[in-house]
Amino acid sequence: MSQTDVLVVGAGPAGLTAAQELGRRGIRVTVIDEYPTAGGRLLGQLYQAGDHWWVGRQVAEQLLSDISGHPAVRLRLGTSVSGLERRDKGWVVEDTSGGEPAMARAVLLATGAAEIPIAIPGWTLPGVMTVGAAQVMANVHRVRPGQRGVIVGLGALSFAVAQELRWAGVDLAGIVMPPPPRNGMPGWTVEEEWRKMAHLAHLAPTWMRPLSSLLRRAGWRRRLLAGAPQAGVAVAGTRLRPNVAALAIEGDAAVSAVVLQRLNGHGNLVGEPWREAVDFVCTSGGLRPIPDLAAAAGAAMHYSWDGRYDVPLFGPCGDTTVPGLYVAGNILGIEGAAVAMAQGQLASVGILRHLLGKPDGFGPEADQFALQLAEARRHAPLVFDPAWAAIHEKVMADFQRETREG
Amino acid sequence: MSGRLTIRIPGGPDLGPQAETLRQVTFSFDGQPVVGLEGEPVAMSLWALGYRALGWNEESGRQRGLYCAIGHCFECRMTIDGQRDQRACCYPVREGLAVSRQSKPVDLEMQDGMDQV
Repeated sequence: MSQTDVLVVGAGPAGLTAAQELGRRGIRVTVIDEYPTAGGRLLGQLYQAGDHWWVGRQVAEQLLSDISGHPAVRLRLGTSVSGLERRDKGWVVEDTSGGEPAMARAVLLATGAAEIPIAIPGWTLPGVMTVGAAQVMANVHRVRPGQRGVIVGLGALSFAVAQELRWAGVDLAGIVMPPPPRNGMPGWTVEEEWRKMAHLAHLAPTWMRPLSSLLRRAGWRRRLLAGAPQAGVAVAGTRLRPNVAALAIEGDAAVSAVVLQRLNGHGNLVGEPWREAVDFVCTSGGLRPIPDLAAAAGAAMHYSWDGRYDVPLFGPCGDTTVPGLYVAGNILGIEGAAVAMAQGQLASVGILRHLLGKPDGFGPEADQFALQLAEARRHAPLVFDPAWAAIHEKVMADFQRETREG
Repeated sequence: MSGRLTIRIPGGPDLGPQAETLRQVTFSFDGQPVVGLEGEPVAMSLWALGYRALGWNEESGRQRGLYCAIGHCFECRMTIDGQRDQRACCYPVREGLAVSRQSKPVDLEMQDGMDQV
């Protein structure tokens, strides 16, 4: 059985930052990721944040270059973790490489997030993809997803990817809304989708930003969004169409059209549906953490009715309720890469404390990284979902209670 | 090959490697020789050639293709290098690789007394 000190699952911003911090102290680290290239979501990120550009690929290259200076850190790419079991105060980790399992003294789960589908009729046709998939195609592999597409849904990635597709020379029919739920399904409503717009308005062109405060007020929001022209308003190199919903996607062997219908100020469908020709569709239903390995390893969890807020209970340095099991990045909630990197730093402190048996050690480092996390949050270019702040507070309070009682 | 020119994106250094900097390799798709760029995922080579349907859903028989592009959804599962259910979005292309579409899983054959699998 191969031995290591720390096994990190996920080579994204959180996992690589933690590996860098541990590696520079001579700790043996193995980073596993199922993608053939390290960097995670950093690889496709490209946007303007204030007066500078965030080029995720360069951030990833810097991290990897730092890591290459630490011979104690090994990367195992193109490999998925298939088993995680606690044994003799350590962990046995199985993977899909066919080799023997690895034995680690601590495990860091930095598994990131998955995209939430928008399941409208036709959504399984070839040519329908998540908005993140379009980003990977265009920015990472430089393959156009199609000639003309449409983005359905107002996730945080919608504007960024619309702009990136525009740069890639791809035409878009705009950003449209998902259809209103049928049969009184709980959860998503057009109203909710519109409310998100108030939180995203600062990404819009300067002339639109004053609208942000109006969009926070329900009455104005309705009037403004229902009154928008059917062709939409120019945003992020495309057209935002807040009062148009995608009812269905059509095509034979692949996508050929999207069926659209107008929404009124109450988020109800009105008038006759019509078709617009597209050869690909991006769904932007938002992101959810991937906490499965934490739950399988026995960590106490916080669960939500639809799964999109399922997270392990966690402490200030990424500790879970299971000794030797740590978490960092989007497994804790949906935030940007700079936040994930600060969480990776904090988790490295938690892991060092565990490995060296010093539960109160590295105080100055912990304080410094906590400050960096707060800074990263303050300067975050966008709030993905304002619900996370309250969930984090509850989850961290639950963690304190669990560990005190335990 | 004409599709490659319109589907491959040229441009600056902030994105992934440009097509011109990667070596062209020949691999097989359903037995036919096709050309991709070494190291890119199988699904990207096929998409750039105009192939979007990568297989058939085992239950509905409908065609499926790339959906999440990062290995989460398994919609792009194909038989690659003799192994079933490999994710084409994560599998790097190399010279001589054999890639084929699949439909029903081999271990779910109709048994006596069953009316469907």
